[in-house]
Amino acid sequence: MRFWPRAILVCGAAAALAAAQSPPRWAPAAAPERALLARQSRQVAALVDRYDYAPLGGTEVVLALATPWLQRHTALEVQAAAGRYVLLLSRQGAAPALIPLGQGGRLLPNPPADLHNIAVFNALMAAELGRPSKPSDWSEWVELYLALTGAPPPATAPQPSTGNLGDAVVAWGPWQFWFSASGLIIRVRLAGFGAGGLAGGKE
Amino acid sequence: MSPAAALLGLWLAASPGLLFWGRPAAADYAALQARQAEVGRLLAWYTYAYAHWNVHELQTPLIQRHHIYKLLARDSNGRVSEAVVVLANDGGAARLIPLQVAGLGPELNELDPHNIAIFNALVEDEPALPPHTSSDWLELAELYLNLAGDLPQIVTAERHSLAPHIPLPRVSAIAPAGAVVEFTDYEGQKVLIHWRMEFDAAARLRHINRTQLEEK
Repeated sequence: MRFWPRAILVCGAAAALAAAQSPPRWAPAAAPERALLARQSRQVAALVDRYDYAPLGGTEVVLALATPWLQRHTALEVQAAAGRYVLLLSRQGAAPALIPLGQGGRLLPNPPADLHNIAVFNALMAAELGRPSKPSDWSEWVELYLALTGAPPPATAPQPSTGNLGDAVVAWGPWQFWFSASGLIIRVRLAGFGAGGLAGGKE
Repeated sequence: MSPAAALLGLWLAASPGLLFWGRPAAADYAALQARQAEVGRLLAWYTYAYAHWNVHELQTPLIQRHHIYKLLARDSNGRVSEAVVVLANDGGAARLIPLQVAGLGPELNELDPHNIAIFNALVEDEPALPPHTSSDWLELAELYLNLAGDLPQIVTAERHSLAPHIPLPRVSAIAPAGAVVEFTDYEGQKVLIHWRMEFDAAARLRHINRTQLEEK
Protein backbone atom coordinates (compact mmCIF):
# COMPACT_ATOMS: atom_id res chain seq x y z
CA MET A 1 0.00 0.00 0.00
CA ARG A 2 2.89 2.34 0.69
CA PHE A 3 4.49 1.77 -2.67
CA TRP A 4 2.11 3.86 -4.76
CA PRO A 5 2.50 7.26 -3.08
CA ARG A 6 6.28 6.86 -3.33
CA ALA A 7 6.01 5.81 -6.94
CA ILE A 8 3.90 8.86 -7.64
CA LEU A 9 6.46 11.08 -5.95
CA VAL A 10 9.25 9.52 -7.97
CA CYS A 11 7.27 9.98 -11.19
CA GLY A 12 6.53 13.57 -10.24
CA ALA A 13 10.17 14.26 -9.50
CA ALA A 14 11.20 12.61 -12.75
CA ALA A 15 8.69 14.72 -14.63
CA ALA A 16 10.00 17.86 -12.96
CA LEU A 17 13.59 16.90 -13.76
CA ALA A 18 12.78 16.15 -17.37
CA ALA A 19 10.78 19.36 -17.67
CA ALA A 20 13.83 21.35 -16.70
CA GLN A 21 15.53 20.15 -19.84
CA SER A 22 12.71 20.37 -22.37
CA PRO A 23 10.53 23.35 -23.11
CA PRO A 24 7.07 22.49 -24.49
CA ARG A 25 7.07 22.01 -28.25
CA TRP A 26 4.24 21.54 -30.72
CA ALA A 27 4.80 18.86 -33.37
CA PRO A 28 2.47 16.99 -35.75
CA ALA A 29 0.34 14.53 -33.80
CA ALA A 30 1.64 10.97 -34.04
CA ALA A 31 -0.31 7.72 -34.10
CA PRO A 32 -0.80 7.38 -30.30
CA GLU A 33 -2.19 10.91 -29.97
CA ARG A 34 -4.47 10.43 -32.97
CA ALA A 35 -5.65 7.12 -31.52
CA LEU A 36 -6.52 8.82 -28.23
CA LEU A 37 -8.42 11.47 -30.18
CA ALA A 38 -10.29 8.76 -32.09
CA ARG A 39 -11.20 6.96 -28.85
CA GLN A 40 -12.73 10.14 -27.44
CA SER A 41 -14.29 11.26 -30.71
CA ARG A 42 -17.86 11.36 -29.40
CA GLN A 43 -17.05 13.52 -26.38
CA VAL A 44 -14.79 15.72 -28.48
CA ALA A 45 -17.44 16.16 -31.16
CA ALA A 46 -19.99 17.35 -28.58
CA LEU A 47 -17.47 19.71 -27.00
CA VAL A 48 -16.31 21.16 -30.30
CA ASP A 49 -19.91 21.75 -31.37
CA ARG A 50 -20.68 23.72 -28.19
CA TYR A 51 -17.89 26.09 -29.17
CA ASP A 52 -19.31 26.32 -32.70
CA TYR A 53 -16.28 24.74 -34.33
CA ALA A 54 -16.81 22.38 -37.27
CA PRO A 55 -16.57 18.65 -36.60
CA LEU A 56 -13.13 17.14 -37.05
CA GLY A 57 -13.03 15.78 -40.57
CA GLY A 58 -9.46 14.80 -41.21
CA THR A 59 -8.46 17.89 -43.18
CA GLU A 60 -7.34 19.99 -40.23
CA VAL A 61 -3.80 20.25 -38.91
CA VAL A 62 -3.43 18.54 -35.54
CA LEU A 63 -0.34 19.21 -33.44
CA ALA A 64 0.58 17.55 -30.16
CA LEU A 65 2.41 19.24 -27.32
CA ALA A 66 5.52 17.47 -26.11
CA THR A 67 6.11 18.29 -22.45
CA PRO A 68 7.08 16.09 -19.52
CA TRP A 69 4.73 18.03 -17.25
CA LEU A 70 1.73 16.36 -18.88
CA GLN A 71 1.82 12.69 -17.91
CA ARG A 72 -1.90 12.09 -17.65
CA HIS A 73 -3.13 14.28 -20.49
CA THR A 74 -2.46 14.93 -24.14
CA ALA A 75 -2.68 18.47 -25.49
CA LEU A 76 -3.59 18.81 -29.15
CA GLU A 77 -3.78 22.01 -31.14
CA VAL A 78 -6.29 21.90 -33.96
CA GLN A 79 -5.88 24.35 -36.83
CA ALA A 80 -8.87 24.37 -39.17
CA ALA A 81 -10.69 26.80 -41.42
CA ALA A 82 -13.32 27.29 -38.70
CA GLY A 83 -10.69 28.32 -36.20
CA ARG A 84 -7.89 27.26 -33.94
CA TYR A 85 -8.20 25.64 -30.55
CA VAL A 86 -6.44 23.38 -28.06
CA LEU A 87 -7.98 20.11 -26.88
CA LEU A 88 -6.91 18.62 -23.58
CA LEU A 89 -7.57 14.90 -23.54
CA SER A 90 -7.33 12.84 -20.38
CA ARG A 91 -5.60 9.49 -20.72
CA GLN A 92 -7.57 8.32 -17.71
CA GLY A 93 -11.07 8.88 -18.97
CA ALA A 94 -11.92 12.32 -17.58
CA ALA A 95 -13.91 14.68 -19.79
CA PRO A 96 -11.94 16.59 -22.44
CA ALA A 97 -11.49 20.35 -22.20
CA LEU A 98 -11.08 22.99 -24.88
CA ILE A 99 -9.21 26.27 -25.05
CA PRO A 100 -10.42 28.43 -27.95
CA LEU A 101 -7.67 30.46 -29.63
CA GLY A 102 -9.41 31.77 -32.73
CA GLN A 103 -12.75 31.59 -34.48
CA GLY A 104 -13.26 31.99 -38.19
CA GLY A 105 -10.40 34.06 -39.44
CA ARG A 106 -9.79 36.01 -36.25
CA LEU A 107 -7.73 35.27 -33.18
CA LEU A 108 -9.33 35.77 -29.79
CA PRO A 109 -8.01 38.89 -28.06
CA ASN A 110 -6.11 37.61 -25.05
CA PRO A 111 -6.51 33.89 -24.26
CA PRO A 112 -3.87 33.73 -21.47
CA ALA A 113 -5.85 36.28 -19.47
CA ASP A 114 -9.21 34.52 -19.83
CA LEU A 115 -10.37 33.27 -16.43
CA HIS A 116 -11.84 30.17 -18.04
CA ASN A 117 -8.47 29.26 -19.49
CA ILE A 118 -6.82 29.84 -16.13
CA ALA A 119 -9.39 27.49 -14.60
CA VAL A 120 -8.79 24.87 -17.31
CA PHE A 121 -5.05 25.01 -16.59
CA ASN A 122 -5.57 24.82 -12.83
CA ALA A 123 -7.83 21.79 -13.21
CA LEU A 124 -5.38 20.21 -15.64
CA MET A 125 -2.34 20.58 -13.41
CA ALA A 126 -4.27 19.55 -10.30
CA ALA A 127 -4.81 16.21 -12.03
CA GLU A 128 -1.16 15.86 -13.04
CA LEU A 129 1.67 14.25 -11.10
CA GLY A 130 4.41 16.84 -10.87
CA ARG A 131 4.48 20.02 -8.80
CA PRO A 132 7.00 22.85 -9.12
CA SER A 133 9.69 22.57 -6.50
CA LYS A 134 12.14 25.26 -7.60
CA PRO A 135 11.98 28.64 -9.32
CA SER A 136 12.75 27.28 -12.78
CA ASP A 137 9.82 24.85 -12.47
CA TRP A 138 7.44 27.77 -12.03
CA SER A 139 8.87 29.36 -15.18
CA GLU A 140 8.23 26.13 -17.03
CA TRP A 141 4.63 26.06 -15.87
CA VAL A 142 4.19 29.56 -17.23
CA GLU A 143 5.81 28.50 -20.48
CA LEU A 144 3.44 25.55 -20.64
CA TYR A 145 0.45 27.78 -19.93
CA LEU A 146 1.46 30.23 -22.65
CA ALA A 147 1.88 27.32 -25.09
CA LEU A 148 -1.61 26.02 -24.27
CA THR A 149 -3.16 29.45 -24.69
CA GLY A 150 -1.46 30.21 -27.98
CA ALA A 151 0.81 32.98 -26.73
CA PRO A 152 4.43 33.09 -27.87
CA PRO A 153 6.94 33.10 -25.02
CA PRO A 154 8.55 36.52 -24.57
CA ALA A 155 12.08 36.88 -25.92
CA THR A 156 13.51 37.78 -22.52
CA ALA A 157 14.22 35.24 -19.78
CA PRO A 158 11.47 34.57 -17.20
CA GLN A 159 12.10 35.87 -13.70
CA PRO A 160 10.60 33.58 -11.09
CA SER A 161 10.61 34.29 -7.39
CA THR A 162 9.24 32.08 -4.67
CA GLY A 163 7.62 33.13 -1.43
CA ASN A 164 8.08 31.74 2.06
CA LEU A 165 4.75 29.95 1.91
CA GLY A 166 5.61 28.00 -1.22
CA ASP A 167 3.85 30.47 -3.46
CA ALA A 168 5.54 32.03 -6.48
CA VAL A 169 5.48 34.95 -8.89
CA VAL A 170 6.85 34.72 -12.41
CA ALA A 171 7.50 37.92 -14.33
CA TRP A 172 8.13 37.37 -18.00
CA GLY A 173 8.16 40.19 -20.52
CA PRO A 174 4.78 41.92 -20.26
CA TRP A 175 3.34 39.09 -18.15
CA GLN A 176 3.15 38.45 -14.45
CA PHE A 177 1.79 35.23 -13.02
CA TRP A 178 0.99 34.58 -9.37
CA PHE A 179 0.80 31.00 -8.12
CA SER A 180 -0.50 29.66 -4.83
CA ALA A 181 1.56 27.14 -2.88
CA SER A 182 -0.71 24.42 -4.19
CA GLY A 183 0.25 25.32 -7.75
CA LEU A 184 -2.88 27.18 -8.78
CA ILE A 185 -2.59 30.27 -10.94
CA ILE A 186 -4.29 32.88 -8.80
CA ARG A 187 -3.69 35.95 -10.92
CA VAL A 188 -2.46 36.91 -14.37
CA ARG A 189 -1.50 40.42 -15.26
CA LEU A 190 -0.57 41.72 -18.69
CA ALA A 191 1.13 45.11 -18.89
CA GLY A 192 -1.31 47.71 -20.16
CA PHE A 193 -4.22 46.05 -18.43
CA GLY A 194 -3.90 48.06 -15.23
CA ALA A 195 -2.30 47.44 -11.89
CA GLY A 196 -5.15 45.56 -10.26
CA GLY A 197 -4.29 42.46 -12.13
CA LEU A 198 -7.53 40.68 -12.86
CA ALA A 199 -7.17 38.62 -15.96
CA GLY A 200 -8.86 40.39 -18.80
CA GLY A 201 -10.04 43.27 -16.67
CA LYS A 202 -9.03 46.79 -17.51
CA GLU A 203 -8.97 49.31 -14.73
CA MET B 1 -28.63 61.59 -17.56
CA SER B 2 -31.89 63.53 -17.68
CA PRO B 3 -34.43 63.00 -14.87
CA ALA B 4 -36.88 61.53 -17.39
CA ALA B 5 -34.28 59.03 -18.60
CA ALA B 6 -33.40 58.14 -15.03
CA LEU B 7 -37.07 57.55 -14.23
CA LEU B 8 -37.49 55.45 -17.32
CA GLY B 9 -34.44 53.41 -16.35
CA LEU B 10 -35.82 52.77 -12.90
CA TRP B 11 -39.22 51.88 -14.27
CA LEU B 12 -37.80 49.47 -16.84
CA ALA B 13 -35.50 47.93 -14.27
CA ALA B 14 -38.49 47.25 -12.05
CA SER B 15 -40.68 45.85 -14.79
CA PRO B 16 -41.72 42.29 -13.98
CA GLY B 17 -40.65 39.35 -16.11
CA LEU B 18 -40.70 35.59 -16.03
CA LEU B 19 -36.95 35.51 -15.62
CA PHE B 20 -35.40 36.92 -12.47
CA TRP B 21 -32.82 36.27 -9.76
CA GLY B 22 -34.41 35.37 -6.46
CA ARG B 23 -33.59 33.74 -3.15
CA PRO B 24 -33.35 29.96 -3.64
CA ALA B 25 -35.97 27.80 -1.97
CA ALA B 26 -34.69 25.55 0.82
CA ALA B 27 -34.51 22.50 -1.44
CA ASP B 28 -32.65 24.45 -4.12
CA TYR B 29 -30.19 25.80 -1.58
CA ALA B 30 -29.67 22.25 -0.32
CA ALA B 31 -28.88 21.16 -3.89
CA LEU B 32 -26.02 23.67 -3.92
CA GLN B 33 -24.81 22.68 -0.46
CA ALA B 34 -24.77 19.02 -1.45
CA ARG B 35 -22.11 19.88 -4.04
CA GLN B 36 -20.23 22.35 -1.90
CA ALA B 37 -16.85 20.59 -2.27
CA GLU B 38 -17.07 20.48 -6.06
CA VAL B 39 -18.20 24.09 -6.32
CA GLY B 40 -15.49 25.18 -3.88
CA ARG B 41 -12.83 23.51 -6.00
CA LEU B 42 -14.23 25.15 -9.10
CA LEU B 43 -14.19 28.58 -7.44
CA ALA B 44 -10.53 28.07 -6.49
CA TRP B 45 -9.61 27.13 -10.05
CA TYR B 46 -11.22 30.39 -11.17
CA THR B 47 -9.06 32.31 -8.66
CA TYR B 48 -11.85 33.09 -6.18
CA ALA B 49 -10.71 33.12 -2.58
CA TYR B 50 -13.89 33.42 -0.54
CA ALA B 51 -15.70 31.01 1.71
CA HIS B 52 -18.93 32.85 2.41
CA TRP B 53 -21.22 33.73 -0.44
CA ASN B 54 -24.67 35.21 -0.78
CA VAL B 55 -26.69 33.05 -3.10
CA HIS B 56 -29.39 33.92 -5.61
CA GLU B 57 -31.00 31.55 -8.06
CA LEU B 58 -32.21 32.28 -11.57
CA GLN B 59 -35.90 31.59 -11.88
CA THR B 60 -37.19 30.82 -15.36
CA PRO B 61 -39.66 28.27 -16.73
CA LEU B 62 -37.27 27.57 -19.60
CA ILE B 63 -34.79 25.72 -17.38
CA GLN B 64 -36.02 22.68 -15.49
CA ARG B 65 -33.08 20.28 -15.29
CA HIS B 66 -30.45 22.66 -13.97
CA HIS B 67 -29.95 25.02 -11.08
CA ILE B 68 -28.38 28.37 -11.94
CA TYR B 69 -26.96 30.22 -8.95
CA LYS B 70 -25.36 33.61 -8.65
CA LEU B 71 -22.80 33.81 -5.86
CA LEU B 72 -21.83 37.19 -4.43
CA ALA B 73 -19.20 38.10 -1.84
CA ARG B 74 -17.68 41.35 -0.65
CA ASP B 75 -14.21 41.60 0.88
CA SER B 76 -13.14 43.89 3.71
CA ASN B 77 -12.29 46.62 1.18
CA GLY B 78 -15.78 46.49 -0.27
CA ARG B 79 -14.69 44.82 -3.47
CA VAL B 80 -17.32 42.55 -4.94
CA SER B 81 -16.73 39.07 -6.28
CA GLU B 82 -19.45 37.45 -8.30
CA ALA B 83 -19.87 34.21 -10.23
CA VAL B 84 -22.62 32.19 -11.86
CA VAL B 85 -22.63 28.46 -11.14
CA VAL B 86 -24.61 26.00 -13.24
CA LEU B 87 -25.43 22.61 -11.72
CA ALA B 88 -27.17 19.83 -13.64
CA ASN B 89 -29.81 18.02 -11.60
CA ASP B 90 -28.48 14.69 -12.83
CA GLY B 91 -25.10 15.29 -11.20
CA GLY B 92 -23.24 16.31 -14.35
CA ALA B 93 -20.14 18.46 -14.00
CA ALA B 94 -20.61 21.86 -12.38
CA ARG B 95 -19.79 24.85 -14.57
CA LEU B 96 -18.85 28.38 -13.64
CA ILE B 97 -19.05 31.74 -15.37
CA PRO B 98 -16.84 34.36 -13.71
CA LEU B 99 -18.36 37.83 -13.48
CA GLN B 100 -16.15 39.73 -11.06
CA VAL B 101 -13.10 38.88 -8.98
CA ALA B 102 -12.41 41.44 -6.25
CA GLY B 103 -14.19 44.20 -8.12
CA LEU B 104 -12.71 43.58 -11.55
CA GLY B 105 -14.42 41.68 -14.29
CA PRO B 106 -13.71 40.47 -17.79
CA GLU B 107 -14.73 42.86 -20.53
CA LEU B 108 -17.43 41.77 -22.96
CA ASN B 109 -18.11 38.59 -21.03
CA GLU B 110 -21.08 37.98 -23.34
CA LEU B 111 -18.77 37.31 -26.28
CA ASP B 112 -16.48 34.83 -24.50
CA PRO B 113 -16.67 31.47 -26.37
CA HIS B 114 -16.42 29.59 -23.07
CA ASN B 115 -19.59 31.26 -21.79
CA ILE B 116 -21.38 30.47 -25.03
CA ALA B 117 -20.25 26.84 -24.72
CA ILE B 118 -21.55 26.66 -21.14
CA PHE B 119 -24.89 28.03 -22.32
CA ASN B 120 -24.98 25.54 -25.20
CA ALA B 121 -24.28 22.65 -22.84
CA LEU B 122 -27.06 23.94 -20.57
CA VAL B 123 -29.74 24.00 -23.29
CA GLU B 124 -28.86 20.57 -24.70
CA ASP B 125 -30.98 18.64 -22.26
CA GLU B 126 -33.85 20.96 -21.35
CA PRO B 127 -37.37 19.71 -22.17
CA ALA B 128 -38.81 23.22 -22.62
CA LEU B 129 -36.26 23.99 -25.33
CA PRO B 130 -36.15 24.92 -28.12
CA PRO B 131 -38.77 27.57 -27.46
CA HIS B 132 -42.04 27.61 -29.37
CA THR B 133 -43.01 31.26 -29.05
CA SER B 134 -41.34 34.57 -29.81
CA SER B 135 -41.52 35.62 -26.20
CA ASP B 136 -39.74 32.43 -25.13
CA TRP B 137 -36.99 33.01 -27.69
CA LEU B 138 -36.61 36.50 -26.33
CA GLU B 139 -36.46 35.13 -22.81
CA LEU B 140 -33.81 32.62 -23.89
CA ALA B 141 -31.69 35.48 -25.21
CA GLU B 142 -32.25 37.30 -21.95
CA LEU B 143 -31.25 34.15 -20.08
CA TYR B 144 -27.91 34.03 -21.87
CA LEU B 145 -27.13 37.63 -21.05
CA ASN B 146 -28.03 37.01 -17.41
CA LEU B 147 -25.59 34.09 -17.32
CA ALA B 148 -22.91 36.42 -18.63
CA GLY B 149 -23.65 38.95 -15.90
CA ASP B 150 -25.99 41.37 -17.65
CA LEU B 151 -29.43 42.37 -16.46
CA PRO B 152 -30.88 43.50 -19.77
CA GLN B 153 -33.82 45.83 -19.71
CA ILE B 154 -36.01 45.31 -22.74
CA VAL B 155 -38.79 47.58 -23.91
CA THR B 156 -41.89 45.56 -24.68
CA ALA B 157 -44.64 46.55 -27.14
CA GLU B 158 -46.98 47.58 -24.31
CA ARG B 159 -44.41 49.99 -22.94
CA HIS B 160 -42.97 51.28 -26.18
CA SER B 161 -44.85 54.59 -25.97
CA LEU B 162 -42.71 55.42 -22.94
CA ALA B 163 -39.53 54.95 -24.90
CA PRO B 164 -40.36 55.42 -28.58
CA HIS B 165 -36.70 56.00 -29.47
CA ILE B 166 -35.81 52.45 -28.42
CA PRO B 167 -36.48 49.82 -31.10
CA LEU B 168 -38.85 47.01 -30.17
CA PRO B 169 -37.44 43.50 -29.87
CA ARG B 170 -37.75 41.34 -32.95
CA VAL B 171 -37.73 37.57 -33.29
CA SER B 172 -37.56 36.03 -36.74
CA ALA B 173 -37.20 32.62 -38.34
CA ILE B 174 -38.93 30.67 -35.59
CA ALA B 175 -38.10 26.97 -34.93
CA PRO B 176 -37.55 24.31 -36.25
CA ALA B 177 -34.86 26.25 -38.08
CA GLY B 178 -33.88 28.30 -35.06
CA ALA B 179 -34.40 31.97 -34.45
CA VAL B 180 -32.75 35.32 -34.69
CA VAL B 181 -33.48 37.53 -31.69
CA GLU B 182 -32.76 41.25 -31.81
CA PHE B 183 -33.43 43.73 -29.07
CA THR B 184 -32.12 46.87 -27.52
CA ASP B 185 -30.96 46.83 -23.95
CA TYR B 186 -31.70 50.01 -22.07
CA GLU B 187 -28.87 49.51 -19.63
CA GLY B 188 -29.89 52.28 -17.30
CA GLN B 189 -26.34 53.58 -17.41
CA LYS B 190 -24.90 55.49 -20.32
CA VAL B 191 -25.65 53.66 -23.53
CA LEU B 192 -28.18 51.71 -25.50
CA ILE B 193 -26.89 48.31 -26.59
CA HIS B 194 -28.37 46.50 -29.58
CA TRP B 195 -28.08 42.73 -29.38
CA ARG B 196 -28.47 40.31 -32.26
CA MET B 197 -28.38 36.66 -31.26
CA GLU B 198 -28.74 33.73 -33.58
CA PHE B 199 -29.89 30.38 -32.19
CA ASP B 200 -29.99 27.07 -34.05
CA ALA B 201 -32.89 24.61 -34.03
CA ALA B 202 -31.64 23.09 -30.77
CA ALA B 203 -31.57 26.53 -29.10
CA ARG B 204 -27.77 26.66 -29.12
CA LEU B 205 -26.34 30.15 -29.45
CA ARG B 206 -24.43 30.31 -32.72
CA HIS B 207 -23.71 34.00 -33.22
CA ILE B 208 -23.91 37.04 -31.01
CA ASN B 209 -23.38 40.62 -31.99
CA ARG B 210 -23.26 43.65 -29.73
CA THR B 211 -23.61 47.18 -31.06
CA GLN B 212 -23.57 50.34 -29.02
CA LEU B 213 -26.30 52.55 -30.45
CA GLU B 214 -26.04 55.95 -28.82
CA GLU B 215 -25.06 57.86 -25.75
CA LYS B 216 -28.12 58.87 -23.81
